[in-house]
Amino acid sequence: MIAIDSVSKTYHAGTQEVEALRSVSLRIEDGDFLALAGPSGSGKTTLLNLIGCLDSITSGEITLDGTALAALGQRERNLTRQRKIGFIFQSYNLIPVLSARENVALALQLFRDVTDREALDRADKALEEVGLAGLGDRRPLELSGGQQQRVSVARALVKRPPVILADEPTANLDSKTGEAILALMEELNRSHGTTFVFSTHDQMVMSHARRLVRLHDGEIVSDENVGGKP
Amino acid sequence: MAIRNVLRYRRRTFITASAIAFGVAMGVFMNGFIAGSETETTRNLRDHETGEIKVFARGYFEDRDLLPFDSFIEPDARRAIERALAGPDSASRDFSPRVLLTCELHFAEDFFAVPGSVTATLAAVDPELDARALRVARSVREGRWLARGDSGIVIGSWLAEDIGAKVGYSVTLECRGRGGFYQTVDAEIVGIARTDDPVVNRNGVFMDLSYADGILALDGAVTEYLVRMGNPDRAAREAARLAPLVAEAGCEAYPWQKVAESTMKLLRGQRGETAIFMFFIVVIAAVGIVNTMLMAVMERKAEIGTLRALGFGASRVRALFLAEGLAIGVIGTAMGLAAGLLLNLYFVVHGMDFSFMLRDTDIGYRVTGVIRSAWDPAGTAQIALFTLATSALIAWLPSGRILRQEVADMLRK
Repeated sequence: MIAIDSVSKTYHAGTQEVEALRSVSLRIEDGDFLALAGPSGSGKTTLLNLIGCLDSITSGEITLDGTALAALGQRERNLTRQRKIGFIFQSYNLIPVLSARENVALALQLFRDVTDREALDRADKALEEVGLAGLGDRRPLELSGGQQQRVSVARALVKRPPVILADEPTANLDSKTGEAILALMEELNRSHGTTFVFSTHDQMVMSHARRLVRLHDGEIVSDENVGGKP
Repeated sequence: MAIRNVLRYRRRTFITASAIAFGVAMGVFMNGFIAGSETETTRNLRDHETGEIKVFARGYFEDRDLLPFDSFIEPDARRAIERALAGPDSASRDFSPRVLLTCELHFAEDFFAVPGSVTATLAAVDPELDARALRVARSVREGRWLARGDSGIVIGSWLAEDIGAKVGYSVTLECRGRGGFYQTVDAEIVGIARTDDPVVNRNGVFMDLSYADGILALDGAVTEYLVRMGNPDRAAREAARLAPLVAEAGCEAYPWQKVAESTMKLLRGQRGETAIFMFFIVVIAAVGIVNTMLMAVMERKAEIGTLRALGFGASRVRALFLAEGLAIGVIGTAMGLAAGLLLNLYFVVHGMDFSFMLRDTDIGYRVTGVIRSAWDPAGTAQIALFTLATSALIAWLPSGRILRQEVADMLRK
């Protein structure tokens, strides 16, 4: 479970202070399929970054399975990102010099108990799972946007993390491909019990969420169970 | 991944590697050239001036460059030295007792178109012993070398050219004899020596020791013993062995490096100048690498963020850039070694002709014209390793600033 208690985040832009989050509190249960919705600048990405140990909290506390993230040292934060959290980015963020399977296997490279061979085998399976069987040797630029995002999903999925955070995962995709990616995420959520937290300002994406948390100007304005698409 | 990233920016890699290659090539070439001139200078010094060891009467060494004529190795001391040199533990192969002094060489109208005089260094030598110990006798190109009892002289080729001397001409030598009296003596030029040592060619006048003994009232004394062993590296050890033996006779033994200290200092200074030059070349190459890696880091900020998001620690990411810098360094060093060694090969075979400069100017080097490069594997390896280490370390630096940022900032567009 992810517990977010009175979390604030302030950025410094020159002499100006920008409050990206204002005392946000939220409980995310295991297996949730939760959308953080809101317009640009509402604090969605900031909240995802804080949950994912990608940024530091100004005040408040986030606990992941009972561990306070703010108390973690750099090494523990690396380990948390490595073991417990998978990321899906809006721009896919694949490493261009690596093939699809190498990109996916990269997520396992730091696992000492996983050999390179095993990592590549698991990457192949993950790619198969996201519908990219046979495309593992292609480099990102040889894949369409939808395929690249599937590789990104496979990379997040391959290490079987309990939580996957997705920042506007369909924003760069056409609606049909976006729907397919969401369907894939839903399927993984159902089959593996992985918690999905994703940000969006797209109504279509929101319609897939089972829980919808709306943010505005850094504050949660609503939190409702919406059931998602059947 | 590092190799692939290096190949990803081919043009940039090539430009940076070329800058490194230029530095390495220049380093290898200059190192080889300096090594060549050093080898040639020290060999010519030993073959024409110092041998491997010199033995002087106590007190002579400090003023040796002024050729003092008041500090002699007397006949008793000479016998003691020769016993020490012939001893069972001796590494000495040949020796030559010598008298060195400054003289004025006058050339008159009866032989010379333009009369005048020049200052020269007169070396009174035993023709046979000196011919075994040094190469001057073998460098006589016109006329002949001295014979025992000879009253003639052999002079250096440049000196002969400068005054217009030929074999058979007579000159007048003016010098001080032992005790300070002035002596003038007419001497026929019996030979002209064209050696590989500019000092000998420019100033050298050689005379038979037994003849000089008479005209300079030496009474069997000499100013120095020159010793050859055939192994310059053992000179210091052999000089140390001889020191207590010759000390009993009031003499001191010095290895050639000490005898030619000013030349050795010059060579070390040359190394220093080369090191400064190399430093600037390294700075140029380093700036290239820093620039390349800085661009790579800035362009791949989001990639770095992605790696960090996957759980890669800062040190792992820095190691990646270190590997990239090293890879560029390897390419640049390989290119530079190839170019530098080829350049060096040319100068090993053909050399560079400095006769225009060395003929009339004494720059301290004992080289008469063409300076040839030498192979210096240790120096070349040092340059290569230094370049590789610098490439890797400098590539390490630019990633530091980015890695201090929050991962979210790296991922932000």
